[in-house]
Amino acid sequence: MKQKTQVADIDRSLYDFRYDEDAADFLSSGITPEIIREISEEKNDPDWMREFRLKSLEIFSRTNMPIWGPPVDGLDMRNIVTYIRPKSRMNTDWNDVPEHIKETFERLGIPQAERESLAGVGAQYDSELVYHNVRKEVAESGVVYTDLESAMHDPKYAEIIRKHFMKLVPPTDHKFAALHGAVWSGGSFVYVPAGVKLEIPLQSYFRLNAKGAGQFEHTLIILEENSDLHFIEGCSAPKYYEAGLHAGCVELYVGKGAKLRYSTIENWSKNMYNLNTKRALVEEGGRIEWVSGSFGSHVSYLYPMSILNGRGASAEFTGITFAGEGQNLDTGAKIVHNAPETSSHIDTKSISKSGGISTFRSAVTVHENAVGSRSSVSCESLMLDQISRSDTIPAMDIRTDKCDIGHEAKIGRISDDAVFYLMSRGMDEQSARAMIVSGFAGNVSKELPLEYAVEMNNLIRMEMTGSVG
Amino acid sequence: MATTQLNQLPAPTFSWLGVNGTAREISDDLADEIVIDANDHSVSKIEISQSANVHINGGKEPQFVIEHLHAENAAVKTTIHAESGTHVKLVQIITGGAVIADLQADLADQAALELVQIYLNCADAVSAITVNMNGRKSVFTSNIGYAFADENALDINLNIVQNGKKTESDTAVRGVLRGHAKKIFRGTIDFRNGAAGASGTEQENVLLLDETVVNKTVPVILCAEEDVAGSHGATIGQIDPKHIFYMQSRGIPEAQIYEILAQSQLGSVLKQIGDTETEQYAAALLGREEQDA
Repeated sequence: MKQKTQVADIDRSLYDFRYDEDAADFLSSGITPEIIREISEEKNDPDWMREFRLKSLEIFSRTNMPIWGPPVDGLDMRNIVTYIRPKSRMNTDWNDVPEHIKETFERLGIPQAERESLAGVGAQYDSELVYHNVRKEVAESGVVYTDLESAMHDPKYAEIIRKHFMKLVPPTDHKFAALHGAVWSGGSFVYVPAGVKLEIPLQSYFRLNAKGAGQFEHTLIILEENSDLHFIEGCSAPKYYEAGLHAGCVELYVGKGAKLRYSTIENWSKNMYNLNTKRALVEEGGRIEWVSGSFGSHVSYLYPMSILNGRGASAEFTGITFAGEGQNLDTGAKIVHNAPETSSHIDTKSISKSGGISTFRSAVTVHENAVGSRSSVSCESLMLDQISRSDTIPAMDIRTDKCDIGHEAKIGRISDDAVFYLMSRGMDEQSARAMIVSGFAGNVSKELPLEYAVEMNNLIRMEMTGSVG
Repeated sequence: MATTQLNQLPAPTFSWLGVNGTAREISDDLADEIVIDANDHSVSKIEISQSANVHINGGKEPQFVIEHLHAENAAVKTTIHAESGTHVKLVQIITGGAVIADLQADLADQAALELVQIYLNCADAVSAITVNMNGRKSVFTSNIGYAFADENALDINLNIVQNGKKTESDTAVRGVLRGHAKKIFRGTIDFRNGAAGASGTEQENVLLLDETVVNKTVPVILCAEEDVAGSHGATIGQIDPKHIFYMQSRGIPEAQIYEILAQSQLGSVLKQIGDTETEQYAAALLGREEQDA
């Protein structure tokens, strides 16, 4: 008789600490024109941005929820606080950051990572950036890494922001893109001049501390011709019983011959609705690489999109999703081939356990003009027990004959033969299973910087502890 | 006439892709009733030129039914009840104008259904195939081929529901698209909780011969059972230009090259028909369609 696997819940003590907020810092919950005007006033928006917010609110009000994907019934927008006034202005020295916020980021290891392995760091706490800094030599190379709102008010960058802001992800894209357009706050602006190649990554970390709140940061990255950047994004929140909402937006412009790697380790708490939108526009010979680990959230809708807009542009998406108890994670990628000789590759793994639901969803579209293009999609799913669920929903829309498109998917359980083999080499069953799952996730961990790969493998190891019963 | 929603994807996806389903007007006209009973063994051949309901009941002897649907405007529903331990083979050749084909099959313990479908350049074909594999160790194999050209359109929704333990499904789809042809193939393997030991595979291979075709492929796996093995794959693309160049260098005219390619693409499906007369008939139809295209 088969022995069923008992998988322990993830140890979230690293992320499940919190500090009480002062109620006076909260704007009223819900989404109304008055609240939008209030946010706009708090942020001293230029006129065009205030109008943009109000227009987005109109779009939000008339746009229906998607007819596909996980249910979001538990999310009542009337109860979500969309903006929390900051306790601190943005700083460039950790010593100037309020003590409890500094302690939060220290417990998450951000200042240490900055000292050891990053070219620059941005840290957002609830609605606003509290810290932003970039190494002197990086700044001297012409790289701009600052918060989006400062850039919007800086005459040097104001026009660039206006030209690019929500042009890749317009508010009409879907209901939560419209919401983002109305209430966005915080986020980063990165500009890498032509020919500049950063050897070490930049990182933004987003922490949502407040109960029943939303985080709506906007990340805008522009890479000029032949530049090179690795950008890392991390996020977490403590767990509350009330639903939280993350509806961020990431817009990436990858210039001719430029290369951008965008890595994310998402570890929101399990009361969060993660309705995030990420999109990249890649010009001739440019390359976008997405590395994505989805471990947290109650519900996720996350499908980074790459628009290959110039001849020879390429995209690669490498991702893993780990859905445990109470989680319904709907993740994947979208690729649009919109120029000749473009290429793309999607490689994803998903793991479901303890009643978790993991869905891989993708779309590859090849337009008439994308002659000579190639695309391959590979997705593998691992079921760890009888009560979980794993679905694979890829779609391909091909409109030229001069292309080569491949897709493959597999679903199954941990092979008894593989466990038996490892045990015959002296391993106990639990270690054997943990090793197989870590190997299964190897496509992602080998793409991450060492310290992040170690963190991801630790998360997997914790999940698998006590996995034999 | 009433507008009816058809071919709904069991798990809908991004609306902008236009693959979640389709709608057609369906006539309220009464349909012919055709019953193929469990005692009718050997080969049953049916010509269908207007709307019909076909009932196939699996019996002790293997059932072998060949349907040729060639109508200008018709809706045909075929239901198969394969009782425990029975074996049904159904071959459907579908040609003509606006055609709606609906196949529903229920497989009991150790029942087997073998399906061969060939769609040849209908003006507008919508086909739904639902196979409920409730029986333990039931087996479903299907070979589906299509060749479409001109402005013609094909919309297929295959839904294999594997409920029973140790059920097996295997689907192979091969197609050729030319001209302004449009095709959607949705293929779902749905492993339900309790289907321990089940396996399912699905593979589509599409040959695109013109830059104006539209091909949409949606291969779905839904899985609520740990102890299963499922896989699907798709390859979509062009013929290697070197092959065309080689054949041209041997003096074969371009029109004939396309005919050869289409024949070879669908050759493995035609071979599964298992009735020489029907196989030759389908091959001749395929050749004629390719020449016309």
